[in-house]
Amino acid sequence: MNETVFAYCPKQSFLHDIDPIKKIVWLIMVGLMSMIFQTGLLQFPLFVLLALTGVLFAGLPVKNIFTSLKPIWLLAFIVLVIQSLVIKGETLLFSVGPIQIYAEGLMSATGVALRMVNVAVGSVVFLFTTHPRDLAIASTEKFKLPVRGAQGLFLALRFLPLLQDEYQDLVAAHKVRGAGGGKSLKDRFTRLQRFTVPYLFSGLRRAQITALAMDSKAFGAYPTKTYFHIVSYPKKGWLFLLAWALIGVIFAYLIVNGYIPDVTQVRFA
Amino acid sequence: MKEEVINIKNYSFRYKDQKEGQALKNINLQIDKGQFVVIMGPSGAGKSTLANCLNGLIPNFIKGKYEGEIIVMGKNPAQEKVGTMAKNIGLVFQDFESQLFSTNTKLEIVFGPENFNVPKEEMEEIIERIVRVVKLEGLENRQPFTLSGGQKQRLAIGSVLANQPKIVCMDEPTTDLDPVGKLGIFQIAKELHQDKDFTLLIIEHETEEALEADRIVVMDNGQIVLDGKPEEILPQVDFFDNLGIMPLQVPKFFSCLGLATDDLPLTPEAGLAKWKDLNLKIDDAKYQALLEKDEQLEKRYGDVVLSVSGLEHVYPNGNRALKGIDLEIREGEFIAILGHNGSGKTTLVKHFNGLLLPTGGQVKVYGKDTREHSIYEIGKDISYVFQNPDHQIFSDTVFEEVAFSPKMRGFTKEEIEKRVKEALKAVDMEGYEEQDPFSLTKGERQRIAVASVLSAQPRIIILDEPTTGLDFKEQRQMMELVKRLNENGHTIIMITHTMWVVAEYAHKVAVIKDGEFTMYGRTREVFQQEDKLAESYLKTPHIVNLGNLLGRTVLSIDELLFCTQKG
Repeated sequence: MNETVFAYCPKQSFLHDIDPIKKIVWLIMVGLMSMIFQTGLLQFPLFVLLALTGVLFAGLPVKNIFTSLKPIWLLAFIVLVIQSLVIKGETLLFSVGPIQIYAEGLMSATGVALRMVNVAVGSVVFLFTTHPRDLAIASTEKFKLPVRGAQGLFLALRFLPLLQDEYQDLVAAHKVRGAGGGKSLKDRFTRLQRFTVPYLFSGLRRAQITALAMDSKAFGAYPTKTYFHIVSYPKKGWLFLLAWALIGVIFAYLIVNGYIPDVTQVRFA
Repeated sequence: MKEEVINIKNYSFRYKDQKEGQALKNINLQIDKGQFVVIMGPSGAGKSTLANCLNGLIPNFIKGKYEGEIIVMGKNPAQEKVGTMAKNIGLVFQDFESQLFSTNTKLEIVFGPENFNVPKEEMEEIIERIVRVVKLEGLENRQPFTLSGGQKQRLAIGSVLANQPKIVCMDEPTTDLDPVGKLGIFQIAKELHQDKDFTLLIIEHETEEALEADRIVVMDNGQIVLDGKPEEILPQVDFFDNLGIMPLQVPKFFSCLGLATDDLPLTPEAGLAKWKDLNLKIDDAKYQALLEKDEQLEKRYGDVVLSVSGLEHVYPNGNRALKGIDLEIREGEFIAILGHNGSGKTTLVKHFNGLLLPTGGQVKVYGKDTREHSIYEIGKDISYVFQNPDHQIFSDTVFEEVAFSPKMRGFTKEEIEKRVKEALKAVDMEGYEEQDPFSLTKGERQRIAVASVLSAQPRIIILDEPTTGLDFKEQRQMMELVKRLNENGHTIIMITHTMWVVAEYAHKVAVIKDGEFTMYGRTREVFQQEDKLAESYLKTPHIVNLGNLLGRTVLSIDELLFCTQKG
């Protein structure tokens, strides 16, 4: 059986080896770069770099960047169209009737649209390479997160597939009693409403037994505990962070010295 | 020199929100090191409450008022942290899903040792030892979700053993398991019992399994009502009958013949010896009458209502669950489908109402091909009661629950009321209309689940393990209900693991293994072939064993009594 938890994919890659904490730092860096640099002239290279990182260093299939981010791309496209239409500038690229498209508008719009995509691509790379279990353990180790909190995440991972199965049973049990498996939003909502009771009922009962079983095995009985599964914090993680910090510095240098014009003044139509 | 590991003195307990009475009343119980004790009793007898007291879950975690004292391995669990008791006593629960909470087998096993600050190297050794004890070699990296029920329960036992407790208490560990899973647990129990320092307590409701124990403790109504060796306790068949626990069938049979309690044989083999001693014989004319009755029953069947031909099912992941099944079911039949989990039983019956569609071959219900008609349409004729009532009940009141199906089908208010009334009458639950289904007992909820299907007035009813998790009394009630439905003309298709239920109620049996039928025929014919059933890990009830030893296949105590001729 495959181990399928969220978007995590067990693979051998440079980024899979790196600990979750450094990857979080990296993700924050990506977020900052997406926010600070507003021009499409930098957001596009950023996108290319992120995609390359994903494909080359994480073994992420190219199609994942597009298929698993479909809604983001759609949203980005809408933003791109609207922003291009409403932002005015100095350089008129072309006009069709009342619609005027300026170079500055297009540049800023690309920046805003790609900004979302870039944060999303960074997140996909992170989720693709990080087992949530490692994230939980690393968080307790490095951020001193309470052990109980981390255990909560484990429980979610353990019970999610089970809940999915039970949900399917519920749907089937209702279908055979004449309820349609309608796909409209209204149908889904009524179904959700109806299923809350049995779901809560079995969920609460399960939670109780789980808690009893955990306490019976001395969970939280002692102030410290050991871990069998150990998260390693390899040095090459620092190298990775350094490389990305360098990219950030280069981007900033280009902007500050005016090699790349920033979009600071935005004039709306 | 005997050494006491558990000593309970005048112990009583009352749950915090318990309205009346006490869950445990003045319990006195001493258990010696190395004993294998089976605790029995009907639902609500206080068995689980007692188990939870032993490691301090009661009263530290589950609150209430207690009197008296419990000493386990020299400690009073009420005054210790539950965690610290884990080195002395481990608890395994019935629900194998909920007690596993890690993301793979290894992590589940080391969960306890981690909490006890065991270093990593030692944990490697523990894992190696435990997977061997509970026979999970090769499954170390699997997610609990992907294991079978039996494997999950073995993992639960393993994760408890990892703390090396001196006592393990298992609370109905096999109730939700299929025959293979059950067998695995009892084998492990047997092997653990080899260790003379290890004390094993199992809460169980099947008398046949209690034969292996050193000692049986019977509880009822919060009290210990019997305590002794199996050979002293198990012959008391009238006592078990009155308590609502199924007595062993062989002593029950001989007791019906008028033998005194201390003279009753317990096993089929002992029964055969006694049979010869008493010079009993089978009255062949009467046995012939039984066979004729089987034939008469078949003659009453109507037309073919469900036909399955060359049915194959391949799941999207490539798993070939069904490999060419042929089956014809006629109006009025009562067929039991047997086989272990993963054999394809559920996949098969899900084809009968279109929940799954064939990837090869075809299924026709009243002539309608399931591929060409919607579930909604096929559901008018055939309905399905799912295994766990809690996964299908969702309304605030019993009335709403039972009215759901006719409402969905757009009947008038009067018609709906009429149907609900009839359905509740059929399951003996009249007067419960305004009750909240979740306040009912499991047996009652199971009957509501049946009623909620009956209100659609289907002609064929599929029941998926209708007796699992019920005690003997509730099982009997449930099956009498199903029998009545069958006599009123409903065709019954039932998945079950409970062999006495099959013997006494089903007309026909199909055994499925790895997606194929390995046996199919009249219940009597199938139950005659004990060896072949054993290949699918199915064990015939003791009374059938005894009959087969005598060269005749009888399906119930009543049948054997009917055929017995005193010499």
